[in-house]
Amino acid sequence: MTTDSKRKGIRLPRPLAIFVWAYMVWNLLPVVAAMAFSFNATRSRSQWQGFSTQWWSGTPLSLFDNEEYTAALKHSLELAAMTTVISTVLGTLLALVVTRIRGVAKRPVNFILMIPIVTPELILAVGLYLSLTFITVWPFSVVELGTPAQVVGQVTYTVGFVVVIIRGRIAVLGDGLEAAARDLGAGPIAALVLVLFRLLMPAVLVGAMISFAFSIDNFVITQYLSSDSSTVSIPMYLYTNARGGNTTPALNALATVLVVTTLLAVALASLLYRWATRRESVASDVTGTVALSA
Amino acid sequence: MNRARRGTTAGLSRRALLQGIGFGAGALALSACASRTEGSSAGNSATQGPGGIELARPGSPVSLPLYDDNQAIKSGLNPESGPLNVYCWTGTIPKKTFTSFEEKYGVEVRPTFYGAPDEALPKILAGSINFDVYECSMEQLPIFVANKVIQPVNHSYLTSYKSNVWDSLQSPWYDADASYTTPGSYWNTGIAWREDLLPDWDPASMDNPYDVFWELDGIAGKVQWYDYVRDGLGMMMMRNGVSDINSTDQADLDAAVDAFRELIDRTRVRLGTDAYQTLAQGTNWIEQAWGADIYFAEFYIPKEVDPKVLKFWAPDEGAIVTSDTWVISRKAKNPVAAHLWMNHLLEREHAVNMVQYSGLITPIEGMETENVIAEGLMSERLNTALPSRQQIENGVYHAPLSKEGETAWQNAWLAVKSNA
Amino acid sequence: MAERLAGREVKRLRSRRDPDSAYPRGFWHALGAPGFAWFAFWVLVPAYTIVAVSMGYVSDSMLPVPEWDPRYWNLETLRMVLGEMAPGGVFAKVVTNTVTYVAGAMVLCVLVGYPVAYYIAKQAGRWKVLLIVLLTIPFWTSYLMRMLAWIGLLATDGYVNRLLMGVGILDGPYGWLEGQSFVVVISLAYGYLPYFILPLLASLDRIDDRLIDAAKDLGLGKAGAFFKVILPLSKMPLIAACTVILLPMCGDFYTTTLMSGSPATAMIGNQIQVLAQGGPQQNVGASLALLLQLTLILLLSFYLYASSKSNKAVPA
Repeated sequence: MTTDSKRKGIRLPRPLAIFVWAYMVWNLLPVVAAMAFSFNATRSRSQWQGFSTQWWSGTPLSLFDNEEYTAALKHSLELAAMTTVISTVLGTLLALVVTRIRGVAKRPVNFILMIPIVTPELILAVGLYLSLTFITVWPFSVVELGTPAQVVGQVTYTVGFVVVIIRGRIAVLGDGLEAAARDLGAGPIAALVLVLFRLLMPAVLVGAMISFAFSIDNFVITQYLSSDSSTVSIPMYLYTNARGGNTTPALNALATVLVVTTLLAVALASLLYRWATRRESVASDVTGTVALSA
Repeated sequence: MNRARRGTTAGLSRRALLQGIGFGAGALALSACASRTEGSSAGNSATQGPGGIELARPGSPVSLPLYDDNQAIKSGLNPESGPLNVYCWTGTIPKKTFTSFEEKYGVEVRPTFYGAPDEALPKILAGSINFDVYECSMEQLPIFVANKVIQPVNHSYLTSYKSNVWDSLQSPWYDADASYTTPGSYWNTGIAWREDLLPDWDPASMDNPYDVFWELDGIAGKVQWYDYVRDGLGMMMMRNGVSDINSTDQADLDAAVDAFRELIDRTRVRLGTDAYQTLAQGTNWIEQAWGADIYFAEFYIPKEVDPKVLKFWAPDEGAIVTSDTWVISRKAKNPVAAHLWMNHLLEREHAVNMVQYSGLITPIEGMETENVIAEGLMSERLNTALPSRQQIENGVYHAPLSKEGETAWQNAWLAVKSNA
Repeated sequence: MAERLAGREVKRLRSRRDPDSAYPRGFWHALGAPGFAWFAFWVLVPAYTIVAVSMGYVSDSMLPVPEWDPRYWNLETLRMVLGEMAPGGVFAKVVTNTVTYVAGAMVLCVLVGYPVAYYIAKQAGRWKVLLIVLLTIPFWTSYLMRMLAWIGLLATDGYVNRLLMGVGILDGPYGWLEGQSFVVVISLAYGYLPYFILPLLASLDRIDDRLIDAAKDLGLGKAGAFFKVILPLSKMPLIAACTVILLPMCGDFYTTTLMSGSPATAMIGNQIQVLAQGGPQQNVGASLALLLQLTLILLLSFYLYASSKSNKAVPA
């Protein structure tokens, strides 16, 4: 080995390191600053004028005391709960089935599963909106704009990602364990439940957390399929009020809640995954992260 | 157009075919489209709106058609138990009005809010909103009547209408004999500016104050117009000297788009609906606005700025005045309570709440801007921001358009929004 | 290496029996049915609805009527929309904006994102894990929150103006949020960079270091090794990362609305968003959506074709 043991590849001049750290600062500092502004002492969201928690709670306009904010918080959590359950269940079943499909159906099925992932959200949203408003037969007639439509839209958007994550796990496991269980006398369905579901659990949990994070952060679909002000989610509220609107630092507090919730969900997902797969050595950090991201 | 053909032979054979192959979804959608188009009739398309309804104008009132299969409710019924679903513009109706209605009639009110009438229209037509009573823009009325989305009103429940409402509105031009509507509120559209940031400008110094956006220097990036097709293009027409803000003359529309193009080049004008906030914050200095915006702006203005610097101008003669109406859904579950709600809104108590909450005038006797200010219900400095009697009587109003006219307006607005 | 072997060990348990034969007939179909029904109802039908609305017409009551039967499709709207995209048409400016903004943001992403990804993949040393975590945070931070953060900083009285005025670059506050195209481009780049860097990083990480050592042993200098070895190997990952951000960027309307709000910076997403929501021009909105989607499918197939070709050329 001729190269430096710590640094791999070609050493580029020092400025590159500075550039990378500058990028990190550029990337993160505004968000940190915006979070900090939720503790501003005055109404301003652009000038720091002292520390206070008045925008978080205690005053009529604060995050936890103003109905507009609490309603958005509650609605976002409701949507996320429903989306997480439905897309995890559907995604797990689909992942199991898709890995078994042979023959002619294989390609079209894979193609359809990829559609929501490679389509701009706006187009998914427009399609769903149009079909819900123009088609009068079941199931389109029973899904009303507002919460039901928003859940349908969010699940449609997230379930593909859940499938990708769980499929990845199934590919690593192979079908050998299931067969081994059967060879030991378990019936096929018992084998599936006992072995596969137990081994798939980490991936299912990751899928659930990812759905949760996607749902909480989702803006385009949620906005397009909303009905009225009772179905406003946190990102929708941020969008309407970011430029003019209800511009107190309570808005920053609301955004902070959004960010912290998402990051907690993702952190939890990756910790759970590591804990559940602690006896296997899985892919490195990078691939792990990207598996979460892809 | 091949609409006639589509409606008859082709439609039938298609339907037969689709039923033949059992394509349920398609067939149902087709029958839906058949019912959607049946309101159409031959006639002069330039003077007629949806369903062949004549286009109402302040000078030429129109009776909205009544249909046998869409009748008003019977008299003398008891109000339903509710809850009453009220679909209204966000931020207009004061909370006090909801609670006083609940106390008076023992019917719970469940309000849902839309951000703009343009957003409410498709949702109502698609049937995706359940409402009993809706705050309706008057240019939408013929669409709802022709599509039988709303039901006629029974005036025996609307006792305050006759006793309180202005004489001029006992039989309004947009709905003669008020067979479908009760009046909502009135406001004016004009120019709002910050006097502290533009100390040298005075509308009285200009022959055509609407020209200010093209004349004043140093306002690039500080200008906003309404993101509403009728308000945006309508005021642009006024600026161009077109007095009919419902003109569907292509030359008028083209000139309005041209003026917008110039304005975009000159000021990078922002289109939005939050004029009151941006003015209060000082991000914008001069805007197309509603008079009520400078009242709203007072709540958002920084402490160190005197609210007196918020100024509003609209001409005394020929100002753009907007008003809306209340209508009842044909599928209302609480039609009696809906009538009572409409009646409730025509009482003085609500009118006072309303003007103090949102700066809008309710058209009932004694609540004219002049009286509101004389009685000290509103500050003297808001005199120009509330529509005066003269403005209301001699104002220009947004009114329904024909299909071709509507399309021309939509295309023009699209050109504005695309900066084409 | 050890990791890879561990994975392989598990895989070797694969049995030779056909795993499906053990299950009751139709078991997998039943298990998959809800999911497939979901996709059929909420992906395929909506896609078809966009086509149907685009090919429909507007009734006398000013309601758009979708045309479900392909034999009666009315191509007029689509043709009109296409025509308006040509120079001088209504959508000409919007299309130009979309193309230049997306292209500009993409160039910025490559210029900023590639060095960052490369450094973290190959040179970060003990900082690598920390840097990856720092990259993951914005990835999972709401896009709107990240725009909101910049709105505060770029406000007339915000810290960017005060900093620039403090060091004497600006004499007075600059109106960043007042319809400036370059602000929209930078905001897009800022917004989508995390989604660009992470996949790129993962691919660059997989480039075998021994290839680089070999290049050096063969006498290529630092620069030579970079240009002859690393850059060619980065080509496909770069295209992939660009595709990842291209798709959502083309449907973006919120960035330009938030950072400008002027029609001067409108993108195609703005028009789709407004038109498809309702009104007599819903068929125009649907046509725009359809054209955008077709364009993206075309680009995507090109990418898939290119990547399958390069996979054949260089066995991974």
